[in-house]
Amino acid sequence: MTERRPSSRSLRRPSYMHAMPLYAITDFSDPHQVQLLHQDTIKNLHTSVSDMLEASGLTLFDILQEELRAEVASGKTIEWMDSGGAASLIQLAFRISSTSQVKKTICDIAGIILKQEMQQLSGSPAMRKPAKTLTADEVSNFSFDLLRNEIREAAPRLESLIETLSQSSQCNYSSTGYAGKCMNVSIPSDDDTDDETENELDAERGYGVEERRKQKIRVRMRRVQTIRATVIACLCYASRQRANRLQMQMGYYLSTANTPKRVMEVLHQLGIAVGYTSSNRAVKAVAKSCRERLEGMIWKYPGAFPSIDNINFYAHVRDQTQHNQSKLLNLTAGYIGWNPGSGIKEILRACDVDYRRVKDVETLDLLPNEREMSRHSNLMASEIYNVLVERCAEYLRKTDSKGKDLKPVRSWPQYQLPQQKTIVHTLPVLNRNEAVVTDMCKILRSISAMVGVDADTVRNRKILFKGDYLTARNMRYGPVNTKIN
Amino acid sequence: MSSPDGQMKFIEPAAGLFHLQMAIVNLLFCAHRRGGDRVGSLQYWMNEVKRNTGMFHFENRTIKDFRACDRFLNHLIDAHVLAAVAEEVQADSWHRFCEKLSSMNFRKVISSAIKCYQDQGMVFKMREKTLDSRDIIYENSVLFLQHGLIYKRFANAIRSGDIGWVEHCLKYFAIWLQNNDRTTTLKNYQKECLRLVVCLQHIYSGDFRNYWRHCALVNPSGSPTGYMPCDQLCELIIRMLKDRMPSNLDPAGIDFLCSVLGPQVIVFKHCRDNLYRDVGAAEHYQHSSKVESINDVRTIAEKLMKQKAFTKAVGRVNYADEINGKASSAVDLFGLGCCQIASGKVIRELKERLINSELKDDEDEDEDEDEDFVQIAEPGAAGIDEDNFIAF
Repeated sequence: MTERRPSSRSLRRPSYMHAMPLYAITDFSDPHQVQLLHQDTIKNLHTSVSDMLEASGLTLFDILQEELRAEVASGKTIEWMDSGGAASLIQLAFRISSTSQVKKTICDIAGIILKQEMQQLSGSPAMRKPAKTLTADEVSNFSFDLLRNEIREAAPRLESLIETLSQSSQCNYSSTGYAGKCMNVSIPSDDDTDDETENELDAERGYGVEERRKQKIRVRMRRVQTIRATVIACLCYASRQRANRLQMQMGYYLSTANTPKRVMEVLHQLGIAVGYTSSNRAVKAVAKSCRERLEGMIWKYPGAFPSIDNINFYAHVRDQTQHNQSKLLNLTAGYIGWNPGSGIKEILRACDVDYRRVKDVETLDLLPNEREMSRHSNLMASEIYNVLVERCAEYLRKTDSKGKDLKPVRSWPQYQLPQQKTIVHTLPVLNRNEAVVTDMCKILRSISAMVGVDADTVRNRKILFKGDYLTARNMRYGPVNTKIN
Repeated sequence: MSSPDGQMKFIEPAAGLFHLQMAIVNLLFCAHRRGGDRVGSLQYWMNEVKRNTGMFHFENRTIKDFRACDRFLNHLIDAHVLAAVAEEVQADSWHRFCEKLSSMNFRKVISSAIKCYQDQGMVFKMREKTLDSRDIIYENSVLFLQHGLIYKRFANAIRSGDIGWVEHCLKYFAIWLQNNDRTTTLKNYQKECLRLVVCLQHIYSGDFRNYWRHCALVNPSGSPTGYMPCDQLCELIIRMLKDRMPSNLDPAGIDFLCSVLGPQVIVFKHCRDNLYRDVGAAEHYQHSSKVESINDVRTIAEKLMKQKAFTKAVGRVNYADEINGKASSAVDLFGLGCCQIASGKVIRELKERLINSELKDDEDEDEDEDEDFVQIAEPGAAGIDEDNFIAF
């Protein structure tokens, strides 16, 4: 709402004048009268200044300009300008006279400010990612939140501008005080949202209407924020080709999703991703970082273990069937895994595996003992209970005849591994056939070299190598039959 | 002198549990397949619930579709469990079973069922009697129930990461695999499973056994039921690699596959998953909804209840629906396996094998300390038969 402007007439020509000056009749012991006197003095001063300007033909701008000239500048005016005076002047100008000239001037000034921010942002190292320096960790942990933080830090006004521009007419997504505002607005429904199905699903999940509404707002807000970050990243990429953090990630992502080259080139031209060549370079760089990551892994994670298997692939044939034996390629793939919860501190020693102990094995050792048979009863009971719960849970009574709750029949925990996410690093594929013992020796030697195992370091150590039966059997043949200096 | 690196003595090979699980499914199919599509045979049940009988090659006794076989086996086990419990509550139809179950203390029902079926050697003892005093249908049903529950426990323990239960089941599998029935002999896993059990019990130290426990299962997703055998993950990685292999793979393509795609194929997945999660995109093609299987289970369970499969009837040699002939007996894997172990032959062979392969090599190393030459064994060389060079 704009404030009503008093007419110049009412200011300059008061309707009532009295010859007696106000200070002469003011009771200075009354604060109210003192305040009225002060207001009257200022009013008279304004009138006299205004009359003087009118008489001299000068404007306020001329006075201000003169005030701000270096040789006559008084600290007070500059201080006033700095402490919000300048901003008030611009606001006043825009409010009183919003002509196209005023708008253009304001936009030009804003353009200069935003351009500076944009240059700072696009030149920032966080926005730059040369293809050759891309690593596996970076592509796996890329986050739009981090990108947004970088943008907010380097270009806060630019981000604010994009935020203002992207605000929906129906919902205010401003980051400040957002939640409170959103709770009271209606959310526009997406065209591709099937409300009926979602309602049913929510009812099944036990979600209330309010909860669903909040969830929807959260999802939508996140989406809008992601789009804003993408827009700014694309602007940076347009202004400077090296500011390609997002585009590099998208290029790599497109490569992982098997996107055709032509599609990638179109997306590159739109500024969404780097081109096919750069993507390919990024893929090679990540492969290099993956290979480097493998080096010394066994020593870094002593509980790590390699696992390998063969790939049988029929090249240049229509169907992957056994009739095309002549086209069969035998390769070997694998990975090194490590369970973080294993708690193994060092690689185990050769004496931990002692085949001489086989002499102690007796028949009874292979048959179930009393303890195992008791455990087996629990196995049967828990599995029968699981089947009953899965197949006819609604018919199982909750209480016994005396009204006591019936406890479920659970299996006794034996050796429960902790909940953990296994770290998996895939090995380079080897063009060797693990079914051939000589090839198996070379495979094992290659893997050992990849993970940094050599003759001196692994002396008197034992590392588990996993695979299927054929792999394990041929591994045993390898060490037995190979003698190399 | 042959160096440790040359001989790679630091390697301790161990077979993964996924291929062992496949072998056990194969074993169970072979043990319970029985004749053709006669009542009670696996093929009969497949036809009853309209499953594709091509999941298992009945002539070659090999699995063609492991997932389908595993699902079918689980449904069949569930039906047997329900039929066995129905017998305990004296119900002869599904409706009666549900009625009775809702009026009884399920803990007591389960307890009485266990008392009936927990003895793994009960069928072996029954089979020592004459045919007139036996009930072949009851024996077959009990055997399937006993085998099935162990298999289910094994699969569940793998999923939930309780490696202790896996070890427990391994011991039973090792016994099963020692059976000497011609139709259920899996020579490779017979040796491998026994070797694994012996290694865990005797050969490995406590620390190494612990190491094996933490290497046997992996959890790539980090979810509580996301554990899988390490060799299964290897198969998944191979599938990911094959998805990226063009049909016209040339030498340059192989190089690219080996050096570029191979090391980062799992990073591809992480990158995709991370981006889906970060932007909140819908992950299409993730069909996680399970097909409702209760109707199939109920169909089989009702048939079993109708046939009174878990009611002991002395002198019964066939199902009520089969008038002629005698039903073939399922293989008593536990009983036959125990007999073989008790004979001492299994232990003797195992000791010979391990001493020849592992300990002899240690002695050779001591003898050849001064030798300094390279020698790679070729097919036909002593100790290696031609089979070693044929893909499994």
